[in-house]
Amino acid sequence: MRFEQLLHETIDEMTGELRGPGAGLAARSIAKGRSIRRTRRLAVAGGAVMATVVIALPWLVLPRADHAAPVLPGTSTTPTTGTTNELPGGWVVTRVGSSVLDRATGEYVTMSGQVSPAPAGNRVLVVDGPGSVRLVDVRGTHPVTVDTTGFVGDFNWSSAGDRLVGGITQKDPDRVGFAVIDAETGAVRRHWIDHGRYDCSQCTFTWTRDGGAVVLPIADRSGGEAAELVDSLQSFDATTGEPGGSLMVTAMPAGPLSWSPGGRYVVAGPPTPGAAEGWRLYDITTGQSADFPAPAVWVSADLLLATRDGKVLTLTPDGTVTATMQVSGAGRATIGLGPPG
Amino acid sequence: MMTPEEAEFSVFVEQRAHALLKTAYALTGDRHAAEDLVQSALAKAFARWRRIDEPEPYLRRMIYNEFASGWRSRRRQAEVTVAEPPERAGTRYVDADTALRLLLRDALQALPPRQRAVLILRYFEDLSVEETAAVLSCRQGTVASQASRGLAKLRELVPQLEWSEVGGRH
Repeated sequence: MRFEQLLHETIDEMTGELRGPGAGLAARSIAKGRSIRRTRRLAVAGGAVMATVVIALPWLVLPRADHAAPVLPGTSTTPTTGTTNELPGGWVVTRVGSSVLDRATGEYVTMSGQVSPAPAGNRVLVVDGPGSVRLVDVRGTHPVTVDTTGFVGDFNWSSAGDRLVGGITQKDPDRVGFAVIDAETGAVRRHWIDHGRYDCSQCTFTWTRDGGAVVLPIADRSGGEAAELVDSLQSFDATTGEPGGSLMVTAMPAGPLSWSPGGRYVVAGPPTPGAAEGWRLYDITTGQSADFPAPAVWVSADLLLATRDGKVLTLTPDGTVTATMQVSGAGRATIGLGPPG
Repeated sequence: MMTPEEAEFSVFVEQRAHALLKTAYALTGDRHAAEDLVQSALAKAFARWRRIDEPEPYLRRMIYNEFASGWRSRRRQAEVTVAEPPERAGTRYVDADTALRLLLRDALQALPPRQRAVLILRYFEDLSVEETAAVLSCRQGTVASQASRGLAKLRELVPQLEWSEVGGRH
């Protein structure tokens, strides 16, 4: 007998023998529900007092440097007509929200849908519904559609902007793996992994800086199934899918450019997307790590960049913020950074 | 004297609580734990009853989500045991299919709650990975991982089953 059929029969049999709920369920639920309402009202009242304090405080505690932060030359309050925002090392702001840099002209183009521009090159991933995604040039030319059936989670760009990687799963038979998508042609190459051997919690793959491999956080189950802790990173050859080495990093890398140019260090962080806290800088040769203030990208061996609240931060490898630059008009929109070229 | 809101809620409970209890029972494998889970969900639903457009899907989602995210019955000891003896076939003769169902029933109870919830949503409710992740408020990769781990465990516990023929939509 097949599993799915047996599961149906088993659950039908279990629930078929179940009598209805006992008397008074509605009354007990109403009484408890009223209690929850009272607790919520009290919490809201307390929250209003706290909000007054929080709103007042930023004006008192913000350092002067932030108020006097230099405005980036060339930034625009109307991103659709802005020009390239140059950063240290010739890096650029590749996006501000849905406004994406056209590297050919240096202008920003407002795109529709949920967009994710490549850190290099001119390709943009556009997610406008379930079941498929589009890859287009910034101006909307050369579109290709990719069927995303079986893909799970986010798509992550390679540092060169020529490929994406995404997690995949299959029900028949049950399998887990990753797929590499060619950004120009949309061609998909699937690689299944031995999930029993390479046990992952979130099964999210990210690139190494050189694009030769992808890495998968291997689960640490010591805290239970729900903890989703990371034991190490396992690399896989991006072309063949063959497993490579294991790296002493106990968190998910922030992205391909979060690896240092030599590949010795990586900024990795919390499992929650967009989390501001909990990032660390790992030395993969020793496994040691230290707190790091943001999910940064490495410009050179001694300089990193990160974004926060509409600003671009310049950092040293010890996490010191040496400069803060405002991106005009960014507000709280997502800012993307990319290397020159 | 009930308010109109309480009267509407009571009618809903009278009509749909049994179906919700079945869902909770499939998850917990224990009647008392299932009743606790349903009552907990109903109480939370009543607290915001006026803002809920479709109560049954809302409650079903809440039951799955609460169960998978570490909900514990007030009578937790009952939850970790297998189904109650009076409801079981016991030691009398059972045919092969019945034996398999009993094996699977016990095997499901041996899984951690989130794995159990994922397998029931994926293979009983026939939800996609995306839909399952939405119900359980977790990442799609987590669904894939938990399904894989849960099936691996069931393969160990119920080796008599034709595992190669697991099927369905992505």
